[in-house]
Amino acid sequence: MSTLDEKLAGWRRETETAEPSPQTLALLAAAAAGSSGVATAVAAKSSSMLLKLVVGLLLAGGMVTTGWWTLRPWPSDETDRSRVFEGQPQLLAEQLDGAATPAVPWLVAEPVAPASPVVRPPVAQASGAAPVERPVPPSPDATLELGVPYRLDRDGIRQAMGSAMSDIERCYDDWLQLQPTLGGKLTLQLLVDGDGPIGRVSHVSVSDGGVGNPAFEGCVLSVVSELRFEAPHQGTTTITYPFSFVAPPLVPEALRPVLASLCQRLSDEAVRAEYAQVSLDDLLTVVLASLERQTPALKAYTAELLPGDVPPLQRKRAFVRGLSTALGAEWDCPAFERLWVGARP
Amino acid sequence: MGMSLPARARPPPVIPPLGELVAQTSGDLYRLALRLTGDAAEADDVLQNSYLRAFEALRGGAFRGDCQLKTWLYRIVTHVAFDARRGGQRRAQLANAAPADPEASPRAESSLALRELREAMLSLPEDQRGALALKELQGLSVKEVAEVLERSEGAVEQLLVRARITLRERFQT
Repeated sequence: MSTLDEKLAGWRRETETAEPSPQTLALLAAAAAGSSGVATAVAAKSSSMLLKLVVGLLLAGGMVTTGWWTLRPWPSDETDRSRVFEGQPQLLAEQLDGAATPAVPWLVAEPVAPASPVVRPPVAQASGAAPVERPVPPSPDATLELGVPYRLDRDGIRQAMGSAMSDIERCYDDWLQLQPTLGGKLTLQLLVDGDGPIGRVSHVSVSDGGVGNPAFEGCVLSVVSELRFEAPHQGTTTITYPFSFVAPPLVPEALRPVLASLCQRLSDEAVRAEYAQVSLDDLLTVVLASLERQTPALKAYTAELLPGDVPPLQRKRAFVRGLSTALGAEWDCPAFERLWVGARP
Repeated sequence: MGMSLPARARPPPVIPPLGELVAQTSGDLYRLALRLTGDAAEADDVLQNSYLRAFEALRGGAFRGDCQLKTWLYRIVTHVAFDARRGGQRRAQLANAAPADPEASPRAESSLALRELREAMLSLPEDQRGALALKELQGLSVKEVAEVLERSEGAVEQLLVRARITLRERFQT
């Protein structure tokens, strides 16, 4: 190629058959159809890229970060918890606070925030969807505005993430419909700056490789960027928080009837007399372990559905999502809900 | 008392269903985004954001039919692409996207030339780059380019001349 016109013609030829990626086309089809969740996620995408850039520039430029909170919602050194019943499933995830938290090893209940004023989640506002009430814990400091901040300690940060979890899971549910294999670890880094008595998330970024879907990541980033904390004592604090998303595994045909009857079997099993003395915190684990013993394929399925690195805050939704996907409809199981909160069906 | 006649109203623009609109226009708009940004991933981003803006505007009745719908969509893509480049979001990726060893490719000479052209175009001022991409790569007429860029046809001609001079100078050095 020698002349400018030839070069231009060459580039035109090279690009004349280019088409948008399948993900983009699927996304646009959903947005055109008016899927609010997806549209919100798309809207969050570009901002996420910008935020990533800004945080990267700030860190590269040596902006002062005066405090570091690196949170791991599950410790790497798993504690050995001997089981009461033989054949119970392995401990899939440890909890943050060991003995201070309920001992339901198979599925760990989300912390229950005390009754308090509510704020509207950002995704619901942005998408025009019905507002979802989000409990906000009472302020630890009487000088702080009621209903605004979470404490900047381990429990406060966990509560904050817990409050955002339903929105985050909604992001995942939306994107999973478009990309059924979407999943992986997603570690977020939040920079919290003091703004009077309130700590606001000034920058948020993905600090690991992400899950390979910037639009989904952007949706999650937009949710956590709305969190409010107490003002950091030293001006700025960075929070690192890991999530793990597991795409529902394929279900063998033979297992479908088992999953379809799982709710009833949970309910029946939980009221057996031999479990009368089992702690309510352990009952769900015990009952599920019993059902897994009866059906080994169920055990293999649940192990795939809930690998050990799924954080406690995400385990319930991951389990329900898997069953819902397998059954083709939202798994609505009152017995499971009762057992989850430590009550008998 | 005489009745006042209503002003002659422009007929409302005909807008296809959004899904149909995407099916009809996404290919062309994507190629424009690709030619303006030089990067496939960034072009996907630009396309998504452009349609989001377009959907919002169409649902809000902001498109009044002052120009062809496609011209209006080209305008949105051009603005979004310029915004994205200003943000510098993917400069690093663009650099990485270039073949590490052009000589190893059977189309090495061609790829190298195209890469030079792409980089040279990205260094042009926005309006020159937009005019050149729309005219020479998308195949629009000067009149259509003028509508997209909201310039006069004379101004577009000037932009094209300047763009060509800049590129030729760059390739001679």
